[in-house]
Amino acid sequence: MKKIKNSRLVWLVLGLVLLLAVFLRFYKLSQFPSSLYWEEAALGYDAYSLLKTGRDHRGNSWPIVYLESFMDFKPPLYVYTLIPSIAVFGLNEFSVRFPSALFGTLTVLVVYFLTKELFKSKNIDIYKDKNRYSKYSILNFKYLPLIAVLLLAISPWHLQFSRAAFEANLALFLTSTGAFLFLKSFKKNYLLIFSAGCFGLSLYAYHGARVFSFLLVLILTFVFLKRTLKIKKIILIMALALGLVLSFPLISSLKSGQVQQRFQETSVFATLDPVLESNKKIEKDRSGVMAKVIHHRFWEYSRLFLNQYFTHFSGSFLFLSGDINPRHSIQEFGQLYHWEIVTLILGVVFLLKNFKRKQAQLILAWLLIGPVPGAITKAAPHSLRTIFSLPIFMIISSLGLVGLFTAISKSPIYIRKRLINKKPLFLTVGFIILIEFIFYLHFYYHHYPKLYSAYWQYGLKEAVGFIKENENKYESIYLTNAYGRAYMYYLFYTQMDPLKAQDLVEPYKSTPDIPRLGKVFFNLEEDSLKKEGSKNLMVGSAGEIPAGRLLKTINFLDENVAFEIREQ
Amino acid sequence: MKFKFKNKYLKLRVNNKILLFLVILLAFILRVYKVNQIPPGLYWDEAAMALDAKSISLTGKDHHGNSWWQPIYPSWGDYKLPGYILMAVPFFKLIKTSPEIAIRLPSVLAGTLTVLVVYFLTQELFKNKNINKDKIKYSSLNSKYLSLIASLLLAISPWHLQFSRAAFEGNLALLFNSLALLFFLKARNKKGLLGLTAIFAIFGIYTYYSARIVLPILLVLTFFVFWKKSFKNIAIFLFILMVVYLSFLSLKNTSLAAKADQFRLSTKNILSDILLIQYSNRLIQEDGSSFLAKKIHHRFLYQGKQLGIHFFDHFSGQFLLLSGDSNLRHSSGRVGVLFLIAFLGFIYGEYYLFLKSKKLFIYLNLALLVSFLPACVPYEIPHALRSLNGVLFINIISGFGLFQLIKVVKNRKIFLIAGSCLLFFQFFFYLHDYYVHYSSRSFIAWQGGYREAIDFLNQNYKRAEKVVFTDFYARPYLYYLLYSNYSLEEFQNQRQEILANQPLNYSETKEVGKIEFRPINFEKDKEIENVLLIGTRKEIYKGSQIKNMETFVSWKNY
Repeated sequence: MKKIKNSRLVWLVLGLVLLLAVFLRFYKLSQFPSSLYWEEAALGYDAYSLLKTGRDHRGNSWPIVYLESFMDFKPPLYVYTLIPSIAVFGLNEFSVRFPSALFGTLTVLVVYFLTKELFKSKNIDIYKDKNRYSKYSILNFKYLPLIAVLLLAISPWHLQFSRAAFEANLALFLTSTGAFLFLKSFKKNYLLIFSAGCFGLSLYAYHGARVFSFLLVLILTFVFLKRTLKIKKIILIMALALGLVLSFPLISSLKSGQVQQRFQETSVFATLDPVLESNKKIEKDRSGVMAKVIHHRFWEYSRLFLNQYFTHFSGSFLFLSGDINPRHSIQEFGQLYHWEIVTLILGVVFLLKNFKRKQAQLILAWLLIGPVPGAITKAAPHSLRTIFSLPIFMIISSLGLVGLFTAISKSPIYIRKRLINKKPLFLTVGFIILIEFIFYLHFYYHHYPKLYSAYWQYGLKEAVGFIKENENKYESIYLTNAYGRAYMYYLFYTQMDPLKAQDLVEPYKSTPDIPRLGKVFFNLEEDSLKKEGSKNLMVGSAGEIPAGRLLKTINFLDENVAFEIREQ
Repeated sequence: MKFKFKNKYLKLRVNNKILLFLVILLAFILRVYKVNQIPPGLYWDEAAMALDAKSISLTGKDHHGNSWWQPIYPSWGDYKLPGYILMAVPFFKLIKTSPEIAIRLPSVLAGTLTVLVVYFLTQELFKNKNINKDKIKYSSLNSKYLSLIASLLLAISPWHLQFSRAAFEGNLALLFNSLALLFFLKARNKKGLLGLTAIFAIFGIYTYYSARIVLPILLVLTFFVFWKKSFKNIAIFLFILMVVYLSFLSLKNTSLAAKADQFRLSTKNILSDILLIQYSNRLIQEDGSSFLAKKIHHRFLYQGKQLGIHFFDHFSGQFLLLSGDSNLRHSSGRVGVLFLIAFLGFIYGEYYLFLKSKKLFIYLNLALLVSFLPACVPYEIPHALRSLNGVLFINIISGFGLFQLIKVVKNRKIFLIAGSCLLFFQFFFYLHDYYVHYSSRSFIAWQGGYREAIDFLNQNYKRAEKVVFTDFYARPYLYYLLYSNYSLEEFQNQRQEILANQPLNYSETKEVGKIEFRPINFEKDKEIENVLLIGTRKEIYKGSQIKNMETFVSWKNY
């Protein structure tokens, strides 16, 4: 009877945690963050366009490999999840962010099962534990997965990306599900095919997944090699085939111009400096064979990579201020809470101590490959590209948290002298976690919007709304592109009929920033704006348009001027 | 049987001393080999200290004409402490031909001695039998080989080598700090050694600025962790602290102390950063300036956070493993603070200490934190010199970790061979880069070319009527006085005259003899009769390079 009661308790708590996760992700989703940034608007409008016409705004029919968007060739999966969302909720902030929040919540659920599966030593770990204390080992602690997902539910890192349309969040859901199904497939072999499907789909969700999923599958296979090989061969082949089929379109497009361009823009290797440096040194050493080996450009490129790689473990990034991009982190907190530095260290120590166990090997290997997608990019540390290691940070933290209590009780004379009883410790730790959580919420909802509304392109909704109301009074309209991708906001907030939009976009199909949509111009150089005697509406950034009668000023949330609307 | 055992015991002891001697020899060779050529050129502080030391060795006064017995040397207006300068004076008396060697030798010797001190320090730290009450024999944590490995790591440490091969007060202070710590630990049994502790602590305070913060905290920390806290001990310790504090006070109460502090705090640091305070005020305002708001958005939080950020910067992969300090004088730029194998040892050492001896874990890590504190307050981060005290503790932990790792893989020779190979290769690559490529890379950082330019000047001094020397590389007059035979007494008189009218005017000297030190305006200056111009390539586009140095060109019209 007691057993049933306990498991009921676990489900109850899980339900509460999920409820908390739902609340934290959906509460005022359309208002916090303050406005849609351009990727969100782009995804939203293209989904709308696909929904209504079967083509994106540049006229491509049902894109599968790449979404052209701003000619930055996004992975398209998120847009397809947006189609039903927009069909139900209409084209607005909420519908655009809905799938991200939904998959964020589902990730919490998936990670619960993933952690539970991982630590069920009977299923996975063949290691014969000779230590008679293994029964009390932290790894067997029943509530460990619950603690891990509670941490995930309140994680600043996860909340930041679940509350806006970030494709990486979808990819995180897919890779976590894929990993979970992989582990489950040891007992139910057919699940391996679904796992391959999840990993394959993740390749279409986010660029970073293209590196990470591949590495994760390798790691899963090699850590659990014996178990994997025991799976029915036919299933293994089918799963492998599915994976290859899904990856093939991506591999074959590697040489294409779009991919090369993206490489130039974002990759840390897109520079010839290491080659120059290497050649200079080889020359100085009189170009011997030894010199060519010691100063080979491979070492120089590796240094670049390692430099970016290590930044993802820096204390400032993890605990103090996070990603320097204000959209990726509220800057006041790191990617993790401050107290997690203690639990992380304890957790890692614990894992190292139990390194012989497969769980520990998997967790540590996953932690080490997490930063790889971020390490090959110029902008490191990158919290979006390295989001895949987020569940692992939560798991390690939960291990450390539980370990905190067990370590104190078996402490050496030094700490024991202070006689820490468990209950006060529990209350103190709980209090600290609660305080930080509340402070995070306070900062996120109260200060963050005011400080960084500019980074979310605040004001465009109002500006486009004003344009729409007064469109008919003017011959030409100018909307500044100073904050980026103005044309997309115009399309989104006027909810222009996609067929009409495609026609207007057609002549500029190969330009990333469309300069003109009908009588709305986004480029100040356009002659139509300078025609004599015409009455124009000019929506410019602060000080951009000096002349003309000021009709309205739109401010950012920090009272700085965002837009000045004048008529000329 | 007894006889055999005695022999074996003797053999071990002899071996150990020989190995230690070899490590010290290695340390010395690594520090002294071509120390006058690499780093290329004396940088301003070295030149200034060399000038004062030369001046004292010849005249008993510094180059401003102040007596050598002064607690703060005004130097070029950066108000140096006397420690290093006075240490260098005997070397200037002995070595007349090469100011480079004379000024760098104290650092070389200090560095070598520190390696020896670390050997004994490690022994003292790890020999405490009461490490923890678990049934682990203390001998598993201690061994003479442990100390050897720690001192070997310090001997080859790129961090320590960089500062042992040039005249850095921080390096000398490191020696004093480590000696103070060593004798403080040894004084547990022999109270008389406390005198030495106090003496070296005072030396440290009079050598380098950050020692006045770091050393007392370290001593207090060591006291709490390693000393029995009886009333007698506490009394004695407080007495020693007071002695040290009194000596520090006498430094504080000098006339130049205020100016010195002003100079030190003039660089941007956390305490002077207005942006942090503005940010804090803004958030308080947004919350309606309530009492609670003032507490949760207090500026201390943001200053503390910035301190944390600076601190973590010193634990980044870049600083530890890849390129070290971004200042090319403080690091060769191609290696971090630790070699890879040493870093592995560091990680394992921390892990092992955490599990086996919480006391040492807490002590060594707190000591490490305190060592990094002076480097965390300013905004020039990461700073390898201000945090130099950390090199002791990092290498001790690292040595301990390596020692334990070796015991773990002792039977699997492949790991030992691979590990040693990795260490050797990385070490030799570092040496190759340092001795072959580093000079040209860091030439300007070390104000390279000054010696050659001044030598050239000296050769052509008689024939020129006027000389104009660029001040583009800053403080050229120091180098001139150092490398030429211009009468120092004359210069001192010149300075004393100025000081009599404007006390505390230690700004740059613009004229010495026929030479003017200023930016060169080529179009105007080439019209001067019988002039010799020495400047940068940009200033004198028609000039001829001096001895292939990219930094100076000369031009004359006679």
